[in-house]
Amino acid sequence: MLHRNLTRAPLLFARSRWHNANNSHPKILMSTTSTATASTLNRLGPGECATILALDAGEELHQRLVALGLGIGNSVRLLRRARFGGPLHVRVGSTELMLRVREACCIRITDDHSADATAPSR
Amino acid sequence: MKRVAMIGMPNTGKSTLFNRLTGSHAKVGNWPGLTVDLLSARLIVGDQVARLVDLPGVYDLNGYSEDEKVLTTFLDQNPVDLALVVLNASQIDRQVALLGQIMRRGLPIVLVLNMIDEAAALGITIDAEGLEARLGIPVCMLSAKYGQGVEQLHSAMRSALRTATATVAVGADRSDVDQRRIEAAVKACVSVPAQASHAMTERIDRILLDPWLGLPIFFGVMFLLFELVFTVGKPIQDAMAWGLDAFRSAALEPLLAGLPTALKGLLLDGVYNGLATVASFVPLIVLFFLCMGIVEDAGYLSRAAFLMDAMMARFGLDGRSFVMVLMGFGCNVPALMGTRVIRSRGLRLLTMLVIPLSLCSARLQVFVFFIAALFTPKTAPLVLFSLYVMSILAAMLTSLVFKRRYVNSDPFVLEMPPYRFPTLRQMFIRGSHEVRHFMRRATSFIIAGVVLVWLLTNFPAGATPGGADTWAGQIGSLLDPLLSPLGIDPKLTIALIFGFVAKEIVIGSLAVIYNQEGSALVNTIAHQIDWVQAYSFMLFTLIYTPCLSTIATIRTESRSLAFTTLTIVWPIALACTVSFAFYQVARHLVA
Repeated sequence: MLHRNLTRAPLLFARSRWHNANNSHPKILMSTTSTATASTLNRLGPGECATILALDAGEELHQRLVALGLGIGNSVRLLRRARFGGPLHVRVGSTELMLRVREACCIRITDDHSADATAPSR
Repeated sequence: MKRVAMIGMPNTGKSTLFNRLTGSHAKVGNWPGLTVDLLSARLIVGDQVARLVDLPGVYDLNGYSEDEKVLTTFLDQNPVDLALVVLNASQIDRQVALLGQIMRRGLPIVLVLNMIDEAAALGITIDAEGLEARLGIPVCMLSAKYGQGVEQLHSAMRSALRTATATVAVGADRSDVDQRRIEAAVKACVSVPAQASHAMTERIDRILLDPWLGLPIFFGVMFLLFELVFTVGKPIQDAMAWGLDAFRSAALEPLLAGLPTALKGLLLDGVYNGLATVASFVPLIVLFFLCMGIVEDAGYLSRAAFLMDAMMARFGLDGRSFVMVLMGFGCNVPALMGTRVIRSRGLRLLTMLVIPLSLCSARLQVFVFFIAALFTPKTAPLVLFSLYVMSILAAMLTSLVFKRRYVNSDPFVLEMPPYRFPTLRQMFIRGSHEVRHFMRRATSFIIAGVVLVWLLTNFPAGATPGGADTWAGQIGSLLDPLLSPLGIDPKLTIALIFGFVAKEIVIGSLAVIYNQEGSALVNTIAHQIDWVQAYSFMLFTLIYTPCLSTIATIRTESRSLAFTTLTIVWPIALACTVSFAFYQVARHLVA
């Protein structure tokens, strides 16, 4: 549990660094009005599912996320996290992906995380 | 000749399809406007001959990654008669956006839905005729790995090429192609069950990616691979060296006996030894790529990246870099070639800068010799262990120093493909391909280097080979003010110049330099230098340029002279600093 809490901490820092490194004029491609109730993919627990609401990412990352299936409206499930604040292992449709915490923080999801009975326990 | 381009996302089995269609006759070549090589091969389609070009995997035609720029530059500058758009049949719903983008460019297209065996296993059904009718392009369903459906692709290409005229895709914006219509077609013709997951992969991942077992299993797997490559590869390498040596003394030396000594030396010690150096890497490269093929095609490389990423991210590297650095402890050359799986140039260059610091098996031979000569059997293992630690520290320091210069430009979102059984055919095609690539690119460079060192250590005319009166010896005494604070005397400097070619020849060169062999050589060295000097020399040998073949590989893989220079200059500077610091401190403490 401890390392999960730690990985949540650098959310703001991670996002601002991403923008600076890749796009001097970050373009948020979705209105941010939905953020009041939304959390990010990084908050999902192992085995939990949620729907993607918005991608809070620069154009390059946005494009990549959509191409890999992490588009708005899709359902995403967290399979597991690597130890020591490592990447997240998620599934969208029939595709399995890994992404770093920094990228996961850019993906806003619905707040109702439904746990899936068929999901692996960790 | 007509030109067929293969386009698709990463992990759709494009290379497998390429090998399936063309056999192993592919060649690497330059294309106008591109800074990277592309694989292409002649392809006979019915009564026509075409050139099939394998383009790098891309997610989006308007993307920002290096591969995406390569693809669009290629399409802008080279007319294409036909585009084979390769999609993963089980991920067609998310990959179809790319198809729309290519259709909008107005290219003639044959759509290939690959990996139908996996789609079928997931319960996905695809109505190919329906798709064909709705999209208005030929659709082929096939499995490149097992070969089903390849015949149909051939006939589809045949009829497409008969009518095709080459199209340069620049500005050919056919905005009448409607993405929504394409998506509707896919929705109507493809049915995906609600739970489309690979049950077997999930079960295996639960063990291999376990929070506690994952890393120990990973290190176990790496250790086994390492052992396999080097316990099998080393004897083959030795046998080959023996064979080449036997050929030299039995055939070449008598044949060239009539020639003047200098010319004979140039041909035998220069050119032939250079060739032998190249040849000695062949078994290692084949074995390495066989093993990497298994790890990569089976899907474990991305799992390794998952497990190691948290640690490596701190050094600006990622999990895949770690696997390559680890393989570098066996031999740097194949490890450098293996970095090609890393698609971000910044990350790849940083990995290539770090790999040469891995203590490879050739350097190990030098260390074992010096440790045996100057240390007691009791301290010997500790000394060797400390050198491994130094190797890792040097790698860490290098990545920390350069991580801001060589930044990973790609978002870290990677696909984790399901576990698959790699086929032997695939692995052998890959291994043989890599060997030919290495030989074609590195041979002339390595021979030139070996000849240069031979000249340095044998001239001016009349000098004792390897002696103080040769050019190498003169360089040694010239550098003496610089290297004596490091504890390295002119004789050892000559050995370092030899070591530039390959660490395997350092011991042999010492025999020439000291004009003694076997235990006599060990005794002489033990008398002429003390352990502080020896350890300083070993530190220098560990860190400075590993060998000519490594440099040749860095040059061909990075395609940058400036970067290659950096991979020579930085380690030498680091080696000087480390050896100097050690020698001065130890000298004061010991004396």
